[in-house]
Amino acid sequence: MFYPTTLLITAYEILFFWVARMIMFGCHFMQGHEQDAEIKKANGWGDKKDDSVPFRHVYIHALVRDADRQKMSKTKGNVIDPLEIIERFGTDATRFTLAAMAAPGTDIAFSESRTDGYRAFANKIWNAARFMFMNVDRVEPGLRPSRTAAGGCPHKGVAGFRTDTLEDRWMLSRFNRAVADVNDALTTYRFHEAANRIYDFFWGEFCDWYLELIKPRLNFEEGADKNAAQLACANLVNLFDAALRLLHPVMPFITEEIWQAMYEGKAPFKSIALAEYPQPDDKQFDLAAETEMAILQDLIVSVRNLRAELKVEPKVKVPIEVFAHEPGIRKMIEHNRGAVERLANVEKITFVESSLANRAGARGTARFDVHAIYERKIDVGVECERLKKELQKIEKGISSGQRQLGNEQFLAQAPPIVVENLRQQQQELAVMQEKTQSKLKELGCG
Amino acid sequence: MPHELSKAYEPGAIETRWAEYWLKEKLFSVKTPPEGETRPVFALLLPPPNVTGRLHMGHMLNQTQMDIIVRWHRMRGFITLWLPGTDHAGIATQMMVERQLAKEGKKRSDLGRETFIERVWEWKKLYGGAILDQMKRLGASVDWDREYFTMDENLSRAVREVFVRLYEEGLIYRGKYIVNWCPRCETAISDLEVKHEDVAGKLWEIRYPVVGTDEFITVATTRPETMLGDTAIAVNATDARYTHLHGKHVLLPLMKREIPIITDELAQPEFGTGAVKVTPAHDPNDFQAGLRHSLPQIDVLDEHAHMNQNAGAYAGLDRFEARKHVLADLREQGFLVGEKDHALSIGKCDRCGTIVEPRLSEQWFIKIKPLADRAKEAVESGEITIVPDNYRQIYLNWMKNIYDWCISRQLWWGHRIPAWTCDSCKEMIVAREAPTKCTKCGGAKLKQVSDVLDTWFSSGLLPLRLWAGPRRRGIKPCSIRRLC
Repeated sequence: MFYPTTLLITAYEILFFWVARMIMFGCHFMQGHEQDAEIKKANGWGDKKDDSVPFRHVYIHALVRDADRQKMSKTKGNVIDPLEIIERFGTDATRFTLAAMAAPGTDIAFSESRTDGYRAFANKIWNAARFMFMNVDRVEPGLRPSRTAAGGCPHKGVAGFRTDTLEDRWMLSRFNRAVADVNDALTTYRFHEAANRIYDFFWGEFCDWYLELIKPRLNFEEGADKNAAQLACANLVNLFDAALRLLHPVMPFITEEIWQAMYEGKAPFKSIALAEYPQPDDKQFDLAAETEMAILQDLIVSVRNLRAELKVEPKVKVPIEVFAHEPGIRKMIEHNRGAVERLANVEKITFVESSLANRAGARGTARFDVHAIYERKIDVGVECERLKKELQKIEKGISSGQRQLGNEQFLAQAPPIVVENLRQQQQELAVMQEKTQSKLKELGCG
Repeated sequence: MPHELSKAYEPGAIETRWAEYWLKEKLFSVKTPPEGETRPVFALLLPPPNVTGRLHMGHMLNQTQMDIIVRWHRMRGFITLWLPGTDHAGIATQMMVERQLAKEGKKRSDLGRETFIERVWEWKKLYGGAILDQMKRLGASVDWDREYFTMDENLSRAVREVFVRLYEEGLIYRGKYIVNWCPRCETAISDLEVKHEDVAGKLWEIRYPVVGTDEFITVATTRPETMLGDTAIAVNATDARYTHLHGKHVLLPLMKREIPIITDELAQPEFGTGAVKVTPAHDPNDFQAGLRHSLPQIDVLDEHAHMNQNAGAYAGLDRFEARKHVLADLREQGFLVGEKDHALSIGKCDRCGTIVEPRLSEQWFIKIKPLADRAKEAVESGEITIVPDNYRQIYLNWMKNIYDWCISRQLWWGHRIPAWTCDSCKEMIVAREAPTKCTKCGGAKLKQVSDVLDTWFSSGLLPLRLWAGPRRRGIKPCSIRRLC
């Protein structure tokens, strides 16, 4: 029944000691063994002829080294004790670190700062869950994931997810893409891709964008659209449930904790570990929504960058001018005007009829041009002083870099990566120098 | 209370709680499915950590990857079984207990075999398996109900079964062999348990007088003390410098023993003087040359690497002490003609760091070729895939250049070899259960061989024992389910 087994995951150092011996004994003593045909069929092993083998696949994992890529050894004193790391950051964050760094065939340079970062990731999920619960408890206490709503299968995409808005369509499609990628990566032991994909989805798309985009709908004030709030909550709950299941194999504990809390003691299984692993649902992909959302994200990010460049105070909202030559895109931006205003801290969007490409300080993409209307009120004298100091610092950096790069001994001895970084730094400094000089000139104090 | 999540994320508390819950609810225990099961099956064996083990980063990575894959399969509806267990780890565990005894000022010989083994079991009960508790903290979703130990009775039975069958098939034999001997652990260890270290050593040149002439043959060696066991000098047949000496003898200095000059490939004209000493009992290459020329094998060291009575005046000395004496005497008698610095690689015991001694001893071997050929074929044909691909290549090379596997270990802790010798007729009886009388002469005084098996012998059988049971020839493997 269980012979041959499916897989063996082990270290290179026992490939001969153990793996080879199991194969030798297995093939010898099980010669002529035939595995149950049904099982072979179900496992997709129809093409396998030899059932005497003890396992079908062997995956050899890499070594864990210290942060400087040194092999850990007691004599060097650089052994990292996993239990101590777990004590400090949690098992989930430690597991996530190892998974996120485990590219097949590449040794892992274990660094605590990475684990610290993944603890922050767990914390992000935790806070997102609290945000969800807070809203559910306000709008519809007792709301639980619908699982098989609308005839859906609980393992396909997100069951019971309504796609009334652009962000909903986009989120559902992006989730299904993440699901497809993660399943695909795990098939070939690309643990790092699976982990990083989940991370990007959960933090980069779900927390940073989706939660922000749905906030206006989660409004419970007098006269607010209660129906919209309920829909938003239901979507949130259904999506969160699926996302937890997607993450569960890598971070089993936090996902169990939140998942159980979502069902308030009435979970469909004893554990999320027994629930369905998400699979992509072809019907839930929405390329148009992904394209539109990408444009919207581009626009918001462009405005944020413009604000940063202009050093706009965080509290100050600025008006923007947008040019979009395709009417559809203009319509889409108009339709999502609220999102842009909120997420990019914009006061008012004015659509203009001609390109802004030649306007100083404007940003452009193939789809739109945008310009922030903001007059900097600055004290020229103070700003000049600041810029001059900055320029001095930059120039100091340049000359010190030049000295190093002119030193043959240094070039011969330094690791190539160091030299490469230094060269790059020099280039960046040169750009900074030019920018600062032109600003000084603009202010008339160059 | 609805939706209770504490304000701050504190992994410690959450993780301990769920780890206990999973365990208590036996969430990952799997019943063997009935015949005709149509769901796919996913089964995976945990590489059993040594009972002496403590969780290190390598385990943590290994277990994280396994748990991800296992949970992923389970959630996708596979009947998923991940099997945990620990390995008795012969030499490693025996050393732990010996160290413990040493603190009490005792040696294992003070206790005797039976008491010592009881002591190891006690140790195992107390300290062994700490690593499994650590695994529980990791949330490893293994089937704890099926946990095994490689010294469990059913595994011991499988070990005996396999040993007897291989013996009956003529695939197990006893033989004198040069093995890597650890004088501290007092056991043979496999090539793979020897760590090689580059050290700055010396190369000494010794001249041997050719009997009946006034000529000398000079050889170079890094181990002058073993010259006491030389049984020939080899030169290459093509080496013109020595043609006139073929068939003559040299007088072995210090021992005053006459030994032949032989022609053998062992001697390479381009190296040094082109002549080498041949010490079949203390060097693996010389051993082979000795077999080719039917040379006597004179063992000059005992199991502790002290010189024995064959070493004449040097008997009783430690090997390195003996080296000093031998060199001093050679110098004094005019046989030592050179001393040079020489970088060499020495083998050390992977467990204890003692310099390993190539030693002639009686061992048990598995004739590996027939097994290896099939094992190679299974990977070549793609019936087993090994990823990443470079490891597949390494595996195939190993299997191509494989040596017979020395499976006996001179330890007390482990699966004892199921073989007995008859006191009266010296017949060797290999059997599944202890025989009551000799199969040849009927004598009732039988003594079990004291060696145990290499730890990897039993762990190599895990897939068979845990899931199948070795198939008897001609019988359909219908009992497989029952054995699960």
